[in-house]
Amino acid sequence: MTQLITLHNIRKEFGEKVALAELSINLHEGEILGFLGPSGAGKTTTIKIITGQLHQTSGEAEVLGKDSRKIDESIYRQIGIVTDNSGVYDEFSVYDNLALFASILQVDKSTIDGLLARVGLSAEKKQAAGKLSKGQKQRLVLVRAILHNPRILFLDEPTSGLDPSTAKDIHDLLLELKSEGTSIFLTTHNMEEATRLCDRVALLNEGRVVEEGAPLDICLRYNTEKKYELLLSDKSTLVLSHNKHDLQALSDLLNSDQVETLHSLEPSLESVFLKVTGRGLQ
Amino acid sequence: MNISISRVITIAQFKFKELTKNKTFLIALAVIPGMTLVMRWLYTSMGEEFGEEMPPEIFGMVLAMGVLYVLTMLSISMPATLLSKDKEKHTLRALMTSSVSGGEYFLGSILPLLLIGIILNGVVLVISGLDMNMVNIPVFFLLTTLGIVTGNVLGMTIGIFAKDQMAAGNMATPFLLILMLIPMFSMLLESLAQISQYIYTGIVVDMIFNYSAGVAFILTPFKLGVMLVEIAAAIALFLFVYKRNGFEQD
Repeated sequence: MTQLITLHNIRKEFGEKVALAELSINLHEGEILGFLGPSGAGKTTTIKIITGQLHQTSGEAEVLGKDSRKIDESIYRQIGIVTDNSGVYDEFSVYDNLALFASILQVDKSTIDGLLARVGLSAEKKQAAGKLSKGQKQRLVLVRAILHNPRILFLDEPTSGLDPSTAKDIHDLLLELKSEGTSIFLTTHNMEEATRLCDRVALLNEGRVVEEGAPLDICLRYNTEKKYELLLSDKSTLVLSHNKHDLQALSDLLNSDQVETLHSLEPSLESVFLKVTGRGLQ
Repeated sequence: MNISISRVITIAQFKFKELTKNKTFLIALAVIPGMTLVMRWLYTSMGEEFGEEMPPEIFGMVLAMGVLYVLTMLSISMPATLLSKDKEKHTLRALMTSSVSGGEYFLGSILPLLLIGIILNGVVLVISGLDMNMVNIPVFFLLTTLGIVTGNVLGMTIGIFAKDQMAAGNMATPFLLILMLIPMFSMLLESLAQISQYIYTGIVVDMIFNYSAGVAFILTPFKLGVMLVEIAAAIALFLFVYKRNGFEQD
C-alpha cells in the first residue's frame, strides 16, 4: 500500500519544552488515520510539521514523497487542511470565499454548488461568512479543503465544539470522501469519533506515540481480563468473568431466560489510553 | 520562487474587492480628494475675499498635501492593515497552504493599492487647482509612483511585525508622521529641509513646490538616487524580515 505520509523520529522543541519526541508514523493511501490524544499532546504541531507550516527540530517528515520542509505549491495542490482556526473572509459571501480558492486552485467554479449542497449550505450561499454559525463555518472550511479533490485531507479536531447532529453530518461526509479515495489524517480527542471513522489510530501522549493500530485491535490487545455485563430480568446488573465458574453461571442464566442484555466489557480507546498513560483524553 | 500570473491576478482582484469593503480605505478614498477640494476652495475663497488671485504656490501646497496622504495614509497603512488582517483572521494561513506563494501574495496585495494610488495622485493633481501646464506630468507620475511602491513595501514590512490590525495602525503611525510632516514643514524650517532632501516623500514634495513656484524641477542623479535607494532599502528590509519570519511567525 502506498505511503502518503512518512514521519521518522520527529522531534520538535519550543525552547525548553519538548512538543514531539521521536514521533514515527505513516499514512497509507485510502485510509483514515486518527491521532488521538489530549490537548497539548502534540497533535496540531504534528499537522503543522507535515504541512510545512512548522519545521521540526530533528527527524524526517515526508508528504507525498517530498520533504515537508521543502513543501511547495505542487504538494499544496494535493492536500486540504481544516484546522480549528482555519480562517474565512467574514465580509465575503460563502460563495465568494469558495470562488477565491477555486480560482487559486484552478478548479471549475461550477463544482461549488454541488459541494455546498453536499454539506447542506446551499441556502447560505449568498450569506456573509461572518454570519454563519460555528458548525456552518466549519462546513464551509471543509468544502474549501475538498474543493480541489485532494489526495490527503488534514483535519485538526474537525468536530470540536459542534453539536452532535452537525458532527454526524461531517462524519458521514468524511466516510464518503474516504470511499472516493481521499486519505485522511485526523486529530481528535474524541474517542467515539476515532472509533467510528479511523482505520488506524495512534495514541499520542506528551509527544510520543504510546500505542498504534486498528481501534478494535488496540482494544482487544488490552482485553486481558475478559468480562461480560448482564442486565437481568429483575433489572439488576451482573458482571461475570471469563472463567469456568462464571461461564457456567452465565449458561444457567441464559437457559433460564433471565438475561435481558449481554455485553462484553473489552476496554475502550479511552480506557486503554488511561491505562497506558495514567491520564484521560479530555 | 515561482510566481503564477493568474494567481497574482486572482489575489489582486480579491484584495481590490476587500478594499471596497474596508471602512478605513473608503474613508481614505473620500478624505484625500475631499480634503484637497476643501483646501482649494478655502484658499480660492480667501483670495476672492481679499480681491486677489492666490499664488500658485498655495495650490502647490494643496497638491503636496493630497499626494502626501496618498503616499502615506494609503500606501503605507493599507498594505499593513490588509496583511495584519489576514494574520488576525487566519486567512493568510489558508491562502499560503492553498498553493499561494509569498511572492504571489505580496504582488497581489500591493497591485490594487499601486493602481489606486496612481489614479488618486492623478485626481489630486487635477483638482488641486495648480495649473497643469506648470507640471511635468511624466516626471510627476514617475516620482509619485516610485513613492507609492516604497510605501507599499514599507507597509508590507510593518504588516509582518504587526499581529493584528490595531498593532499595524500603531506601528505605521510614526512612519506616517515622519514621512508627512518633515516634507510639509520643510518650507518653514531649514533644518527640516535638510532632512527632507534625503526622504522619498521630501523629493516628491520638493518637485511639487518647484513646479508651483514656476521653477524647473531637475531630476538630478542625487534625487533619483535617493528614490531608488529607498525603494531598494525597503525591498531589502522586507526580504530580510520575510526570510526570517515569513509573513507570520509561530
